[in-house]
Amino acid sequence: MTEHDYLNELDSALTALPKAQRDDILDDYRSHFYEARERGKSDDEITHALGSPKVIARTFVADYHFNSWQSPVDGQSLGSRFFHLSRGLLVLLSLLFFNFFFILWPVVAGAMMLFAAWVVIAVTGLISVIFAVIGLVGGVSGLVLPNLSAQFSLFFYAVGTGLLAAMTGYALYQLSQLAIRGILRYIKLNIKLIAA
Amino acid sequence: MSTQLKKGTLELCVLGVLSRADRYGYELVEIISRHIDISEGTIYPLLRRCLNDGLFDSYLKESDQGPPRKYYRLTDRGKTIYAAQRLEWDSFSASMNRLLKEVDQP
Repeated sequence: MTEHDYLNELDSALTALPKAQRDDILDDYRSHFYEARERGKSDDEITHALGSPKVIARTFVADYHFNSWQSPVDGQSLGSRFFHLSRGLLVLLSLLFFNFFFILWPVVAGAMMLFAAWVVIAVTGLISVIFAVIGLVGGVSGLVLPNLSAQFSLFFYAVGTGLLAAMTGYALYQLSQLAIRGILRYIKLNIKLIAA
Repeated sequence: MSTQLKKGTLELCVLGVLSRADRYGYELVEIISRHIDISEGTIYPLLRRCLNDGLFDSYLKESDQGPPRKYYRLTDRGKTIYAAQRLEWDSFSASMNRLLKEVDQP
């Protein structure tokens, strides 16, 4: 990321703040870039060492709201103070749970897809068991299906589908374990990102 | 080192460094990150908070080359708070070391 991109991202994440404060903050980061570059560092090195501009901006925004709550300007209404308090708490929460929705969306989507696959496998397995039983019972009693060959083919089809379902189920089981591990690692990574 | 622990002590680091001499932002980052691995960007929100709380004030000073630098200077209030926090830290870390030494004993 270049200095320009970094400062832009920081600026656009600070829109909740009054212009003067925002400019002041940006000045601090601008001189950080200047000093670091003087010492021979590249933009990439500098932005990497600084950390995510979005997360940093959130700290500033939370501080700003809490400050507006604690030391109100003359004539500031109570409603406005409570607005700042609630906004501050919200930003703080989002800092604690980092991009709550950002993290959660991919996780929820993945989990739902896995769940749907499990349902399909379970239903297929159940149906094949039922049909296999019908094939067998029908074969013995001669009641359900018209002739023996139909009963046999139904039975074998059902067993075949059942086996396929079992195999897919096993693969799905492995995949689920992998997914759970992946999700945990993903969340940990996100937590690391905020905390650092 | 756990990030929570780092966060809680970063203010003490800044106060400590400033208790010796006035410093500008990047200098603070440099000195602290020589010893502790921090996300450098997190120091500026902390500096702003301390300014707001009146722990230090800032002034601009020309540099030999480049734009003027913003220096931070500990206020009397900042000095008092640093002394108190330092005392607390020293006694805490001493107790911690004693405890861990005791645990290590066979």
